[in-house]
Amino acid sequence: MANNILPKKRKFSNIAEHIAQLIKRTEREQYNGDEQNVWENITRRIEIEQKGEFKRRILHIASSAAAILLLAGISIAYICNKGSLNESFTTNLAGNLLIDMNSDTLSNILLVTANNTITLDNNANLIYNSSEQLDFFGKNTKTGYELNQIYVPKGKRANITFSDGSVMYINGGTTVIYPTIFAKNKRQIYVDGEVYMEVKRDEEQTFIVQTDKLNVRVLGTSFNVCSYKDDEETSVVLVEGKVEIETPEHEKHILIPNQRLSSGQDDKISIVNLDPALYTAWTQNYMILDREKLTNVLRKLSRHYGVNIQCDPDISVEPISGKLDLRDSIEDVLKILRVTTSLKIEKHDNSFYLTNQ
Amino acid sequence: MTPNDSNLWDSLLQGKKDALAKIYSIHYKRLLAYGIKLHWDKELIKDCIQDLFVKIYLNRKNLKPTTNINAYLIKALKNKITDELSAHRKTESLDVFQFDLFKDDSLTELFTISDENLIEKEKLKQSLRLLSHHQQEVLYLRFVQEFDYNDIAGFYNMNYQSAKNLTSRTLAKLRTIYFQF
Repeated sequence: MANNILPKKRKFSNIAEHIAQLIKRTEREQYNGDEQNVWENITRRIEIEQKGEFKRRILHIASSAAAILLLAGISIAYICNKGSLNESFTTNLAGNLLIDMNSDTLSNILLVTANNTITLDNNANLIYNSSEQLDFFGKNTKTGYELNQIYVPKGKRANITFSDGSVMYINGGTTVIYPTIFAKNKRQIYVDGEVYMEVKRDEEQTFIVQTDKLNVRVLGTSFNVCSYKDDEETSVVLVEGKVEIETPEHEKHILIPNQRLSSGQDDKISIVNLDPALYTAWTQNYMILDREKLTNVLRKLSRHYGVNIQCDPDISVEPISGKLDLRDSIEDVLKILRVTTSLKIEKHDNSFYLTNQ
Repeated sequence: MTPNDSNLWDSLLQGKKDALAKIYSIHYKRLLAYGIKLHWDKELIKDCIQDLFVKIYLNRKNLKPTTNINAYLIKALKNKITDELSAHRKTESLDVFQFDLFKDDSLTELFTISDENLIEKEKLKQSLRLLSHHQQEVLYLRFVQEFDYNDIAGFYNMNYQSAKNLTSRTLAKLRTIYFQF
């Protein structure tokens, strides 16, 4: 028996040493995220402090720097609305559509409250403060604990600041249902379309973005959700932070940065590592494409510019790669596509039709 | 501990910004790696590291000399994270920011990468999970962050002999659990 102890101890030492080395190596190779950004913030704050500015000001700059660091991107994209969902998964928010808005006939941003339907201008900015007031363009409208629905048509944008301070940027062709005041234990909204969120951190009040296919759960971070009903694939791309995604079958998946979770037509979940910039570029007004099918590119452009763009079926799967600047006019963007792919563009009224040259 | 630590720290105390930059570049990853095991929210840890370096530079006149910058920073970061979290979340249970190796996803992966040691690694992982937060932290500081007994003593506010006993007792405990599997 005594003979057994030494080799066993040696085996333990070897494996413990092996693991300690592995951990050291992992820690040297990883955790370099944002090293440069954090350093820049440190030097900026030191400079400001040394110039003798007010402490208040520094706190403000520090917190906005923190907000920039919190940037996280999640992109959810459907390529075709597939099947109906498990009822227990689609909790009541989605069933609370106040008005079923027909996305192709509306041209103004609509805000539907329990008592009112209000038309808003493009780039409207709604602010809910904790005293349950809704301010926009200086007007105050008394609101209570109720569900509101906002519809932003193609080609328009809007943003909302919620009562907890979280900010949501809404892209064209999107419906969002949200309570004017969040419940005590969770903050839940429903999205059909694309939004970019900056969620205020609050660990006791999880923020849940519900879509028809997936629920995204966060404690506090910024992310992008894109989940249009007319897209067939749903995907979540995480840049920074941590999110938990729940499928209709109550499977839970946790994403780490630079991962993309997708759920296709067969509802199979797959997770791959990639460069998240491909999916978050829209927030900076450009689009990065990596062998994306032409038809998907045109659908995104059509949402962004609020115009109808179709293409000939025999070129619809042409792969497109490159970068498009969405501040250019739709005509200019299509011209760039034509240069790279030799397409012919026809324009009738507000519709474009692309064919093979 | 590197032989240059005292000199580097002295340069920082004299207000040299390149000393701060050098300390930052050497220690950023190690601090993040430690912090992530106290709280999963990487952004919060980055904010704390940022605050820590700003504070160290601005308060340099009040800092004491040190021979191990890493141990100094790790302890300061732990205090910072604890302050930050307890200030904002009075009702949150303390467990949320206690040391846990397995809060760190990349380490969990490391134990499951398939190689000839897979079974042994799994046994070690299960054994580590059975240690308390405190015990895990002692071993991590000693064997990964390479604290010596003086550093451990300083970290836990105890004397040298106690730090030495604590470390060897904890290692013996891990070994005992490991042999039971």
